[in-house]
This record gives sequence, structure tokens and C-alpha cells, in this order.
Amino acid sequence: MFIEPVFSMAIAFGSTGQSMTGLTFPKNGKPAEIFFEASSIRKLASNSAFLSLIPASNKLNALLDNQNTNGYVFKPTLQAYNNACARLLLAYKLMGRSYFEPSILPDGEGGIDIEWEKDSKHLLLSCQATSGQRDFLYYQQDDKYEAKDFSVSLLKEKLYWLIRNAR
Amino acid sequence: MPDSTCDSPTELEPYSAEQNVFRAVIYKDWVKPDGKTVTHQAFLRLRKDLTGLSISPTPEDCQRGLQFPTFGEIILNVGKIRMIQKSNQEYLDAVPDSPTHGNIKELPFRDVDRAEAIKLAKDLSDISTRFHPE
Repeated sequence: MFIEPVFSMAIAFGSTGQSMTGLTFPKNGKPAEIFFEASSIRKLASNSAFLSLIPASNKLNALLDNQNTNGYVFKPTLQAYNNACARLLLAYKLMGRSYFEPSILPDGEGGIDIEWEKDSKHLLLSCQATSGQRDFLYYQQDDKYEAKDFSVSLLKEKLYWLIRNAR
Repeated sequence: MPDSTCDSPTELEPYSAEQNVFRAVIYKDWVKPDGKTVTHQAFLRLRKDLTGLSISPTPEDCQRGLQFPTFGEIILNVGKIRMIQKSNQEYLDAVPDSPTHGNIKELPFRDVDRAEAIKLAKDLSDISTRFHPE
């Protein structure tokens, strides 16, 4: 049975009120809230502007059919799935034409890892299984690495770092 | 935090640096579509991995005790495992705890040190490949 989640996503905003891809965020001090219905990514994917999201959308949905085996939890929780959908969509919007398909894998404990690799750069968005855990971003280039709690501003910064050509 | 339990029993020979060890592919996408490259998720130490990350001296031994079918084995060299250094300057190790099973030691749990756990998992994936029997 396919789970039909309803989720929301609050988009924070930068000091200029303008994202790097031209998305306009409010300047009045309140984050915009964008609500997506159940299976919103699938609906969005039917819009030609979102065609390149279809493979990632299919990968996310396929995780819901996973079986838990040999002590691992490969079937994601609803929280992990909802956050992964919302944050993938946000990343897609932020990357614009530079979007490329990430790998999407269960973390083995009910969460979902979304990871982009470009040249020697790795950007991992980890969507955790429960509300008691903080989603985080892990980023690595060569032997330099760090992990920090997820925020929209950090995602924006690290996506820019990922897709720019200069080291 | 050092692993406090399950050190190699004295009657067991330590793994040699030249030796290869094997780890079961529990999830199909732990091996990338090229059929060789292993993802770092195969080497994350989770809460269930109390004594370390399971390895075995032969591909056949990997399947012992597993309830569900797996997707083959990953192969990696013990000497290369022991060359992976942690941020505290200690090195990973591979230690047998029975004739058919051992553990990669000194890996942090992912929920204790997420950055280092992922970095070391990536280091292990870099020295690993999918095992293809002759």
C-alpha cells in the first residue's frame, strides 16, 4: 500500500531576499510556507518543468516497499520520507539548471540518505527516522569533511559549493 | 571510544595484513550499477553493531547467521583497513572473534560522531569492491 503523506516545508530566506537561482523569498521577517499535498512530487513531476525529478521521485517512492532484513531498517519512516521529499524538491529548486540526480539510499535505521557527488565533492543530506534526531548535511572534499544540522541556508550554501566549478 | 568487548580470543590467529576479508551485501543498492563500486552505507556502524562491523574470512562465512538472502559479498584487504586513520590518530583494525567471524574495530557509531562515522565509512568503501568469484 502506498503511503499518502501530507507534508509542509518552511522555506527560510537570505538577507537579500533572493536565492541564488532567482527564487524570491519574503523580506518581511516571516518564512514562506509552501504546502504540498500527498504524492506532491509525483504530481509535480507530471509538470514538464519537473521532469528531471522523476527518477529521484521514483527512487524515494520505491523505498517505501523495502523490507527490513538482517537487523537493518531499510523501510523509511514517514517522517524520513516526508522530509526527504520536501528537501529534495527544495534542492531541485535551488540548483535550477545545475540539478543532477542524487543517489538515494536507506541509512539502515529508518532514515534516508540523499547524496550528490561531483568531482571530489560529496554532499550528503541525511533525513533521520524520528523527530528526536536532527537531519543533517555532511560535506567532504578530499580529506576535509564536516557535518552540521540541516538548515535551508546551509543547504543553499553547500549546493552552491557543490555545483560551482572552482575549487 | 574504543570497542570494549569481543577482543580477539587468544587462541585465534590475528588476521594477516595480506589477507582479504568479506562483508555481506545486505541491501541491493550497496553496490552501484557498475557492479563494482560499494557505497559507504555498507560500512556505517549502527546501534545494532555492538562489537564492531561484521566481517568474515571467507565469502561463505558471511552468510552464517543471516536470516534473509543477501546480494553477494564485498571484499577488502586487512592491511588496507589497518591503514585507515581516525581523527584521533588511531587506526582501524580487523579482529577475529571466532574462526568464521570478525569485526572492524574502532569505528564510531553514526549517532555518536556522524561526521567521522561517515568519513571512515567512505574510506572503507574506497578500499572495497564487490566480490566476483573466479
